[in-house]
Amino acid sequence: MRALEIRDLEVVYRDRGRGPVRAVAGASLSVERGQIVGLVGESGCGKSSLAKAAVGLVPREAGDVLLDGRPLAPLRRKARSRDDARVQMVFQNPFASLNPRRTVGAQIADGLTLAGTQRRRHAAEAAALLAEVGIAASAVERYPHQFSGGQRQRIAIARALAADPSVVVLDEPLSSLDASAQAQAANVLVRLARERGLALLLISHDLGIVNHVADVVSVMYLGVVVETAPTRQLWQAPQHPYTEALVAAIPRPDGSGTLPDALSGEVPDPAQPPSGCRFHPRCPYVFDRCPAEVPPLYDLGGGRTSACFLRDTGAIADVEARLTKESA
Amino acid sequence: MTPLLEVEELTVTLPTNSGPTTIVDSVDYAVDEGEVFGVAGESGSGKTISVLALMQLLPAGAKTTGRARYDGNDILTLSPRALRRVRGTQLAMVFQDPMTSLHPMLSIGKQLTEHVRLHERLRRRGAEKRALELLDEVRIPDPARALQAFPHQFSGGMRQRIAIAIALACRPRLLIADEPTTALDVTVQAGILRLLDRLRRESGLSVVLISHDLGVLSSIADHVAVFYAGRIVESGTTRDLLRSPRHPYTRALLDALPHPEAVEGTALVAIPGSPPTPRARPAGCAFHPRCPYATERSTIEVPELRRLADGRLLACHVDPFAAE
Repeated sequence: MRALEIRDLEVVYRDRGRGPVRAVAGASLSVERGQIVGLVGESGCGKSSLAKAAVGLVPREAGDVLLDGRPLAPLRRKARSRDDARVQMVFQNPFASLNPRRTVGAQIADGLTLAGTQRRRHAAEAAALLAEVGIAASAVERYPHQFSGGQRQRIAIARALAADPSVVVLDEPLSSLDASAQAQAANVLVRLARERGLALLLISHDLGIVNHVADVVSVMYLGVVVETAPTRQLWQAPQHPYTEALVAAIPRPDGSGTLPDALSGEVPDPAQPPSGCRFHPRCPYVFDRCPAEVPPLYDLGGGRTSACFLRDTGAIADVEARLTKESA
Repeated sequence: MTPLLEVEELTVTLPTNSGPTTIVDSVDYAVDEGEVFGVAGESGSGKTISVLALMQLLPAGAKTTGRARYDGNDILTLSPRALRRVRGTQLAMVFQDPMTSLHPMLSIGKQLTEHVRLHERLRRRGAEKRALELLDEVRIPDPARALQAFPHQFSGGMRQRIAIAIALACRPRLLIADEPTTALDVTVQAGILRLLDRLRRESGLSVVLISHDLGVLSSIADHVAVFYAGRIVESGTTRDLLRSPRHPYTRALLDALPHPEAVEGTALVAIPGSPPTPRARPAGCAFHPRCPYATERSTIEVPELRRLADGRLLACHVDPFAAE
């Protein structure tokens, strides 16, 4: 069952100084129970805006966000209904997202209250949640500054779990951590998805870690999802030139001394996106159709989609037919 | 060939609330002309402090002992005047975050020409010409316009290129780059790594590259030293170190990395526990509480960094991977 479904989402920021910026320009993705979906892309591609809109932290201009099949109400001043609180978020920087002046236990208790857990069961529940993320139960009495970055991030995850969510959206949860702490937190996420049947949307610019933990990966470029595929396939045979460039840019720790491939150009200003395919000015395979038309998402079967004209089998068949005719 | 930079028994002690604390403990390494020397390790392992000590950029009250011979002279004992001459013209530095290392209120032109005029005694015209060359060298499009612009008008990758251009302005022979690509996207990071590689090949620039990312070091460094709790635990050629790590910590670091060709469903291997704080470093080998191979000797005696047959340096009593 789809725990989180995002359909044709648009997020627009308005600022008096400049025109409206469509940070998310019609993006769709869904996360099933027990599944980890990775969302990758360069900074400025709109992945954080999508994450915030998915939990209701920023208003959406258009599109739908469905939580367990029901539309999610935007966040207002009033506390969220218990149903809407079934989507939780974990932020990038655990130094900023945990309150430095309250004990870990008190912060986890907030979530427990939200989920309607009885007060007398708070201590036991908090200890159980901390154990699930690999933190000693004695942490409830302590303050965030007494923990390392990796531990803090796992505490932030425990706090999100306290509200008994069905969906957790994690915005770059691992990028401020060292390799070992990152591995610990990543393993926790995988276990949570499998054992609790949680739906996780993992937003990251680090393809390496996403490749390791996610079941499905969506690639975002300048506000649109350009490719979605089961992780292994995305990595081994990318079907969009942008995904291909991202994979080629990752330096491998194999001691071979091979330099990664750089992608030419910069991410364009989202206020003035290029015409047609938004990736066309940086694409090595660009042809006449790319700047002229917006490519649709082609369904490649097996849960794979790609928004690239090179995947337009109809068009390729046309070209092939023309070539055969010409050569005949 | 004598190395361009030779660091010997470098020890840095910083004042803290609970008294002087040793952050970097008796570190040795050497960097050759035109070489990229990689420094790896987790945060808090003393990587950054060890290079700030070379530039004498440590906070007041810091105590540095040992030697750092650059071109034959010990740069740790330079007078302030001599130091000013060396910094910028011989050694230069690039920091992690180009957002904070560039001055937000000064134009790129001003920031690129200021020290050129001072150090190389160029007049404004000459300095501007040099600035244009530099921006061109680091592949900033439209250098003439870039000179008039301010840092906020550039993307993160462009800003880091500009920071590198500023560092290179007085033609230093050694560039110290502290996590120069950590704040950048992989696609942009690849461009910066290629730039550093070109500079090293074309102008014989030596680079000390600090990075927690072993992938980054693998792609560009000739040698790598792995720091743990203020000491070097293993150093050698990048190939040796990453293909057949000998120190349990180096191996654990590599195992913790997500591997692109990993078998589906395998968990990442995290190192148990967390790195010690400088105040509470364990006796003996600092890694012993987290090490599955530690012996009683590891808990008592600090292992010496000794040279192995293949030329690498290793600080481990046990050396459990010797036979491989």
